Amino acid sequence: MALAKELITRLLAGAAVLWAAASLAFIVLQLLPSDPVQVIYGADSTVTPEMRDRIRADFGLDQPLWQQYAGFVSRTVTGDLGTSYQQRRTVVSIITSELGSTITLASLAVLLAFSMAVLATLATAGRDNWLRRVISSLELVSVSTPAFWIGLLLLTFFSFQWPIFPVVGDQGWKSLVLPVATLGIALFGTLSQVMRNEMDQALEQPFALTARTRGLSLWAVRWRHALRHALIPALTIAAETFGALLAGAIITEQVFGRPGLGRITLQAVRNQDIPVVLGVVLFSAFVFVTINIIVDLLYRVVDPRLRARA
Amino acid sequence: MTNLSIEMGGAGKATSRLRRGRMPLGVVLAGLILAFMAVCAVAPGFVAPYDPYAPDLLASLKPPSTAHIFGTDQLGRDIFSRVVHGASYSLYIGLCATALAVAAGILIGLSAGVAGGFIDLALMRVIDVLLAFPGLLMSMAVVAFLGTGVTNILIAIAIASIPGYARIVRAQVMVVRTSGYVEAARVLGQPPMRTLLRHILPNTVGPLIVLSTLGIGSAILQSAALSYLGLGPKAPTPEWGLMLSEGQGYLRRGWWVGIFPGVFATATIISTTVLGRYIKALTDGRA
Amino acid sequence: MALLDVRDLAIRFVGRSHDEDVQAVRGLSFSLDAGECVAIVGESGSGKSATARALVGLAGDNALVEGSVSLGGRELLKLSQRDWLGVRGRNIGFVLQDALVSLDPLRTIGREVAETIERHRLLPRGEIKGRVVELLTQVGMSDAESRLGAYAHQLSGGLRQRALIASALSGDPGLLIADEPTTALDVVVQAQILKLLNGMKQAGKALLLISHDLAVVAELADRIIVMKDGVAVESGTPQQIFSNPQNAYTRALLAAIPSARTRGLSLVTGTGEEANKSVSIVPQLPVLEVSEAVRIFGKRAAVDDVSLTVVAGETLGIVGASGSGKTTLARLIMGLEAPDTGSVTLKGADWSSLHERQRRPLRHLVQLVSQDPMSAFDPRFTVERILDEALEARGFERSGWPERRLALLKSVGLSETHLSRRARQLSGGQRQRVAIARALAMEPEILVCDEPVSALDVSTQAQVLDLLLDLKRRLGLTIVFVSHDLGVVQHVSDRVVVMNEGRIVEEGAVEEVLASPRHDYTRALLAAQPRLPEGVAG
Repeated sequence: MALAKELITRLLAGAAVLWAAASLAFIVLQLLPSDPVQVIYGADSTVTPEMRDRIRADFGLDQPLWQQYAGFVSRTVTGDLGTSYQQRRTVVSIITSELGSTITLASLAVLLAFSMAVLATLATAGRDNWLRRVISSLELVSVSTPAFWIGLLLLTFFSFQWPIFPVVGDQGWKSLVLPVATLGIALFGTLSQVMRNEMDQALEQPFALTARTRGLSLWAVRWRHALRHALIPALTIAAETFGALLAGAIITEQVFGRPGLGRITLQAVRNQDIPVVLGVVLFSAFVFVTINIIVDLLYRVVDPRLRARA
Repeated sequence: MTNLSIEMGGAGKATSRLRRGRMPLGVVLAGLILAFMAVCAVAPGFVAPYDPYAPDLLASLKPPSTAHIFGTDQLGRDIFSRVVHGASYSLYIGLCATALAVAAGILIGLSAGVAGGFIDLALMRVIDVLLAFPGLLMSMAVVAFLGTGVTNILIAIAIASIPGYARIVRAQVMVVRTSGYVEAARVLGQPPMRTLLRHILPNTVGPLIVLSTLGIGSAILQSAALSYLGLGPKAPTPEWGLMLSEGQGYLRRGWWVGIFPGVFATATIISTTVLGRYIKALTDGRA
Repeated sequence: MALLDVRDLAIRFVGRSHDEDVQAVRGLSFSLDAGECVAIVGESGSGKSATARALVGLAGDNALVEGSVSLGGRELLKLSQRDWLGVRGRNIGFVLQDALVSLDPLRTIGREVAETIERHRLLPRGEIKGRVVELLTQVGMSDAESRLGAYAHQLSGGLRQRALIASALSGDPGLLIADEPTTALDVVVQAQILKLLNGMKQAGKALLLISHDLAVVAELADRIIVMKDGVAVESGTPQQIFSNPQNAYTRALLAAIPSARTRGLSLVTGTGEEANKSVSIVPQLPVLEVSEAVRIFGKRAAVDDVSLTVVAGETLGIVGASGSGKTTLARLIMGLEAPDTGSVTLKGADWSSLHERQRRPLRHLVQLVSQDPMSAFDPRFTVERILDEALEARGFERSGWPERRLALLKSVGLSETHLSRRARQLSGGQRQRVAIARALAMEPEILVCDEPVSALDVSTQAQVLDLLLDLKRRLGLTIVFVSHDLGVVQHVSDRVVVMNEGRIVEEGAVEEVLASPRHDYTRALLAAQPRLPEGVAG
């Protein structure tokens, strides 16, 4: 009962965030200095005023402002994100056609980054030795190095110096290796730092000492007790990680010339194709809100202390 | 995310190590690198041997040599000179964007935290909404709105980092407001305005300024990424991200085109992060 | 030969250089047999916890442990890391302070108690659950089977401490080490846990008890070792230690324990004039009145229909367990919290109903000394600025501040040299003195002390209590003294109110209430209070 109530509150809050995001998007559209006709036809002076008006009517730009707003919000609610100025396709169809490629890339990268972070955390938390110094230096490099440069380095060495993997294009799993590595390496540092920090703290808690007085080795204390504590902050930053993934996908797809959500976003930004930009923004806000709701529910599974509070 | 990750990394062990030793070697190194970058930014002509814009098509894509220590690019320009000139863009954007974002963040966070009630609720909900967008996507949306260029990506990066700072300030205001010493001031009968200026403001802004030294690194990272995506300055500007994007097509013929701008960018970002963490650990250790 | 035999134990924590090395323990020897209890008592930094940890090989990576520790004839200090794992849990059980953090908060107590059994493969899988239930029942947990799935935070303080003890017993070790096992608990629960430990001893376990509190170990221990700065300064039976302490430190420690016996005496010197007690307040002038005050948080009434009067010049003790509402009551008196219904009046005039703006000019009349002085000071401020802020608030001429600062510091036993320090550079006792000095700068009539000494060691506590009573005598202060510690309240108070679940269950002169309590709760509280045996040399 309490859980259902909690869930409804969460869903309502999420809906409110999305509504606010849509309103913000609408305001941005209104403030836009450029006329969509301008964007579509560029500086083409042969466009007659009649054509201009027809295009404006097509996009509903001749209606009063509040009607446009109501229409925009109600369309957004039904999943209609409008039509691209540039491609004359619906934004939704553009996003869905590109989504698969990005999801493959992102999920493999998360898997890679998470596995590396867990290993690094288990191996170095609560210790002060050379391995820890090496790994925390790697994390520092990971969070400080521009992702596109990681991609370029991988390309330079593994495609040009030693042609193991293809440069661009879609050649099955081989063309996935370098993009996944790029994105995974870029994500690893953040995850690993956050998890280890938490595990460090867990290992200094009295319960870790208690576990050791039961005869558990340091390794067993990490594995059986502290790791679970380290997963909590990994959950906390899950939504942020999603943001980082999307940002990373934009860059990785550009470096390796892959199709995907990132590429269409970049194209839209370059061409000032505002409906697509806002569509991607709203889509990411939707995913962000959804992830946050799921994370809130998962917290209860991982951390029993939260269950009692509800 | 970079803000958070950088913030977490230095905690715990770093402070204990600090207390035991002198200034760590890494910090000294980071300081030297940043000093060098600062010289490059302020007086590039002093460091760079060639004109960063002068093409020499006869000497295009030459590997590193004594004449061109980082080699030359596709137009035969000296990569070292271009990389040196590039420092000013990154440092300028990094510093200004962070300063702008921190100032706005303090203003918003402080008003929300101090005012409380409806203003707090409204401001924080807006912040929540803005935080729902990935930073890079948000700066890209702003660029889509404003157009490309150095000033515009500076503003875009600043806007994208405001929500994070505002939230940190607001959280810190909450901590300080309910602290024992603010209550002690109340027990002494100090008026609230004096308490705000004397206790809340310094104890909120101080930690944030320290934290913002870490933000500079991530702002530089963002600016390099936006430039790489072609949303920053236009060619032939010697900006690091732009140089890498232009050089990408020539990697097969010259690895050095793709190495050195990245080395400079990464070295700068790592150095600000290392220095920022050191300052943070120092101040944490004292508190 | 004894079960546990410790000879010449020395523990050194190795720092970066020789100067930073800390000799935590030196030349400690004792032995312990089955069915026996040895207690190591000392203040913080005495080396008692380091000793406990060294006995299970967990003193830390930077600890250098020398000497000899033999358990059942086996030398432990020569064990390899691997062999240690077989000893911990199996031969030695270990109980830490607070089960809320000493049990893994993410695991059920069933799994926590089973861990030792699983680790040492003591039973086949199928039999573990039954054994865990048996163990939990054995430590006095009723309905153990249904509680297997509970987490530490879902249990009361007493129950989870029992679970922690069960987990230490699960490997059936011959030796049980308990490091401050009752410190986080209320007195009533503490008494139950001590009884449980006593049962373990009776059942043949060897018990090594570590505590900062002599009174706690008095009934349980067969021998007591008093440690100071890493050295055992005295050891003997409780009888010897309490009635005829040989060492000056032990004597000071015993004298420093506040109780009904110490009323009117200095806790530091053990001497004192009964004079102050004769300052019976002749006109009985009420200076502060709380009437029918109710303060509700959520659904719970933290303060429930409380009325009391504070008379000028008296010390009113407010005593109760944690959660009894005593701190909320103190905050109502301070005007930091407003009652939902009822009122607080100060010197016959409105206090709780005032607008903060109207209350501000009167605030100097009631000043606060809180439990945690560290957080009560702006971390950036020096002692000088801390005092100046008060002097400014009181409206003193700036030219007179230097003189006043020095006078204030002197009155709390500090000196000019402390002016430039920040709170973190002071010891706990010094911080509390600065907090008192700041309160005095306001020239208050009432001083509200909320658990002012509960974070301090016994000897520091003694100094601060002496100071408070001395100031009260000299300045004619009225003190409202909030504490969970009956002994402290008995020592300082003229009158006492006993709180339980937000209500005052009993009040009156301290001698009467605590000598012949009328209410059941007061009786339970008194019965549970650990006390030194009669005939303690004061």
